Parts: sequence; C-alpha cells; structure tokens
Amino acid sequence: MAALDQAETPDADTREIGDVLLRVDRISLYFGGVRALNNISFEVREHEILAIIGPNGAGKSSMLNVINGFYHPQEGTITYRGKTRSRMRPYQAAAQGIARTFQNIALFKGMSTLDNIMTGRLLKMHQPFWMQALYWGPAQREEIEHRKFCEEIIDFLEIQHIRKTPVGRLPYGLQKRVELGRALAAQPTLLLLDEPMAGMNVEEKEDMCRFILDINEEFGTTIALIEHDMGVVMDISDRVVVLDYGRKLADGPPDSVRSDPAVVSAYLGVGHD
Amino acid sequence: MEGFLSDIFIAPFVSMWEYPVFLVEVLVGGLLVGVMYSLVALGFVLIFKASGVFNFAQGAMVLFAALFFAGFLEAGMPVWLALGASAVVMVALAIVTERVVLRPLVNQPPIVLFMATIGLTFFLDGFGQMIWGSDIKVIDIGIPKEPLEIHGVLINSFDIVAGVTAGLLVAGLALFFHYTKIGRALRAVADDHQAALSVGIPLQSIWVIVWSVAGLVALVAGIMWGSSLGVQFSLALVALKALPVLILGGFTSIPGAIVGGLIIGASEKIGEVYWGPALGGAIEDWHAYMIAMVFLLFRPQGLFGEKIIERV
Repeated sequence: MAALDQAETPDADTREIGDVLLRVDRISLYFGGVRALNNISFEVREHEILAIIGPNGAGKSSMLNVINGFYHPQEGTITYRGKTRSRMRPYQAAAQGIARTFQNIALFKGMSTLDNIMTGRLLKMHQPFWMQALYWGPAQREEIEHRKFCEEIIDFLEIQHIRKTPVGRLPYGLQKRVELGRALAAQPTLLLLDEPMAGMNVEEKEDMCRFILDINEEFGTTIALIEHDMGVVMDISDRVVVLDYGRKLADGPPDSVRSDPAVVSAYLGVGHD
Repeated sequence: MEGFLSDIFIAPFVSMWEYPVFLVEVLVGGLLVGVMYSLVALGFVLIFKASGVFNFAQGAMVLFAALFFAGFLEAGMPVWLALGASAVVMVALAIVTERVVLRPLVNQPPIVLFMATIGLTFFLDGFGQMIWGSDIKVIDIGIPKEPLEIHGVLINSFDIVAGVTAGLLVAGLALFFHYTKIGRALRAVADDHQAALSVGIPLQSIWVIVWSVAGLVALVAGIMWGSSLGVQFSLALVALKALPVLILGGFTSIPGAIVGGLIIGASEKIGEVYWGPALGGAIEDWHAYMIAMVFLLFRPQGLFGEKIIERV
C-alpha cells in the first residue's frame, strides 16, 4: 500500500495528533424556520479520529454537509488547512482533500466496483480527453497507474471478488465498503464517514472498525465520523463531539463525554439500545 | 373481405419472395433513413442520461442548428467555416441554457425541467426564424445524390454518406463516453448527483458539456436532414419520430438509439411498401408509433434500457 501513504507514515503506536486541520466556528444553519445547527464550534486535529454523536435530528449529517459544502451555513466560518471561508463548495472540498461517504449510500449503481472506485481518482487525472479517448501514450500510462492504485485499495478492503460486479447488486455491507473505497481513492486528508456501520451485522462492523483504524494509522488520514453504536464510538475515537437539537452538548475524550451528565440525560440515558 | 385478408397476410410475402432485390433495396433504404432517426434520438439520450431531463427541445435544436448552418452558407462562408461557426453557436447555446434554464432549476422535479425545455423549444423556433427568416433554405454541401448500383441493388448515395457520418459520430461518442475522464464523470453524474459532487465532479460544467455535445449532434442531424428535406420548420417535427425510436431502444442507451432507429426506419419503409396499399397508404406516418406501443406492452424499458426494479 505504499502508494496510499501520505507525506509521513507514523507507526501504529507512535501516531501523533497534530495541529488543527479543520475548525468550524460558530456555525448556524437554518432551513426556513428550523434551526438545524445553532452556533456550533469545534476542531478536528490532524491524524485523529473524531466521532460526532447525538440523537436523531441532532444535526450530525447537516454538520458533515456543511463541511463538504453541500449545505451553506447562514452564519459562521470554516477554516480548513489554514484558510478561512464562510462556505465550502463540494468541488472545492474534494479538490482540497475532503472525501466522504453517505448515510444512505450514494454509489454509482450501474457501474462496477472498480469503476466506482476509479471515479474517486477523477480529480487526479490530467491527460486531455482526446488522448484518453485514443488511449494514447501518456494517457495510457496514466490510466494504468490509477488502475493500479485502485487495485491496491481493492486489496486493502478485501473486495477483490466483487471487482467487476455492478454495485447495485451487492449486499448492503459490501456497498458501504465500496463507498469507503471510492473515498479512499481520492487520497483524502480528511475523511468524513456518515454512519459507516449503520445496518451492519457484528462481523461486518468489526471489519469496518478495523479498516477505519488501519486507514487512520497507516496513512495518517484524519477521520470525522458519525456513528450510533456507542461501543464502537468509545472504542475507536480519540475525541467525541456530542450534538443535540443543533447545539453542542459536549466535546472531549470518550471517557469524559461518557460521564458528562448533560450527555447522559440527553442521549445515552434515553433508552438507546 | 377475402381480398383484404390476402392483401395483408399473403400478397406482401409473395411479392417479397418473387422480387428479393427489391426487398433488399427497400430494406437498405429504410435502414439508412433509420440512421437519420438515430441521429436525432442520440441527442435525446445524451441529455437524458446525464441529467435525467427529457429534452423536448432536441427537435428545435436540430432546426436551430440547420438554420444557422444554412444561413452562414448563404452569407458566403465556405463549408468548413460555416460548420465551425455553427458549432460555436451550439456550444454558446449550451452555456446559456445551463445558466438561464438549468441552474435556477437545480433539484426541481423532472417534470419542471421538462416544461422548461418546452419553453426552450418555442424560444429556439422563434429566435432562429427571427434571425434567418422562415423561407425554406437549401443546404448543398456537395453530397452526391445519384443512386449507386451495388450487386444489382440500387442505393441512394446520399443515404450512404448519412450512414457513414452517423457511424463515425457514434463511434466517436462511444470512445468519448467510455475512455475519457469527462465520459466517466458524465456517467457518474447520470447515476447519482450527490455522489458525483462528493468526488469533486463540477455538475454545472458537466451539464454544459452534455448540452454542447447534444447541440453538436443536433448540428450533424440538422445538416443531414436539411440537405435531404431542405431547412424548414417541419424539420423540428422530424424529432417526433425520435420518440418511438427512444421507446424501442431505451432512453438511456446509446446503442439502443442506433438499433431503435434502424428498426423503425426499416419497418416503416417495408410496412409502407408492402402493407401500405392494402391499408390505404401513408401508413409511414403512424406505423412507427404503433410499433412503439406494442413494445411498451412487453418491454417498457426498451431493448437496451436499464431495467426498472422496484423493491417493496
């Protein structure tokens, strides 16, 4: 997987949380009269795994959508890699190394697994289209290089057997994995995962956890994820941000969040499975 | 009554058997006309694939492109310059359409976009004729029109040129869609807007590209149809013939548009020649729609369209 490595490759145990990579500052987002996000601020630091939790409708997905530019907040700023903006645009976010997956899987259903993952490399292809159409010299080399890279991702995620299968036909758990593969293909600096384990069985969840940890450790990718499974969240994340009704309730390491009374009453205490 | 039944069920086949050369001529003629239908259908498929919009204005775009091409020729431009200038006009049209029509309607239901393209149809019809007038124009770019004899079969050489042109166009589009970054992005956008945005595909430039390509296809179709029928308002109506082609081939399939066009063209000519007299003639006008209706009963997704599976 050498090709997937970012600038430095911290060893599994010496992973260091670095500087602030992304800072959202006093973000507010309205839909008509509904306040989806209310004055939210938090930071994501380099190489960490940040979990965003909260009950349904707390604004978690809205937050991810703001970060990658699907939603434009009415107030507040987003600082990513030292540059402050009042809004991101999806194209801009992708070009600057933010990749994501979706809660309800957004794959290209008619395409094969390999093709889906190849779309993740689109921004890295630079040969002019007539060269690509003719599959000529440099364009051919470029295509082969990207193809090789995607095969490495396929190996990493252990989905070799479905390489050529149209993803619409795959079971849910595998679709989630392909979607993760497409996000990885862009070699993201910041990876946003919206409920990566929703609807999975125990075994699939274990696999997914392992992939997330490996991505974080081996490639140093910063990860912000939304998840409902508290066991998973407490296990894999370095820090947890808790949202409720668009407000931020808590922000800190898993242990301190778990014992925060406000969090317990708002979320953990309300009979969550 | 007996005579009628025999005219329908016996006489046509007897005559096919007795004059096989004539049958081949009719068939080839029909296939080559079918290629021209495919050209128009292709424009519909491109836009439908990439944006889910049924572009009612495709016919008007054919007329619009043909008007500009004929107009430029009349103004004394050489053919290649007129071709280039009309191509520029079609690309400009794509850019303006994206800005003025599509962008404000992002995320609206398909029916809204469909209505918008109806509006675009009227605009193009009016605007094109306002600039170039409504007289019938002639496009003569030196395509030979004499019949050729190949192994005793008479074939119109214009039809052959049309067929070859369409073939080249389709091959080029197939390469473009399958092997280029833009092609991959187009397929991605067609499949899922949200996912396409998240991997960094700029939706708006993709739309401009699709509409430009559809505009260029319309230009080619306009030149071919214009040379054979003359550039006049009825050219926009030829596009209606693309509807049964689309139903047959599937709205999302480029090969489907080609095969659908060939089937419609061939069956139309054969129907007209062999069954027309018994049914009072001029069945060419509705025959294609009949075939499309029968097809809808058995294969609503078309020959090559994506099968619609609804999970309950």
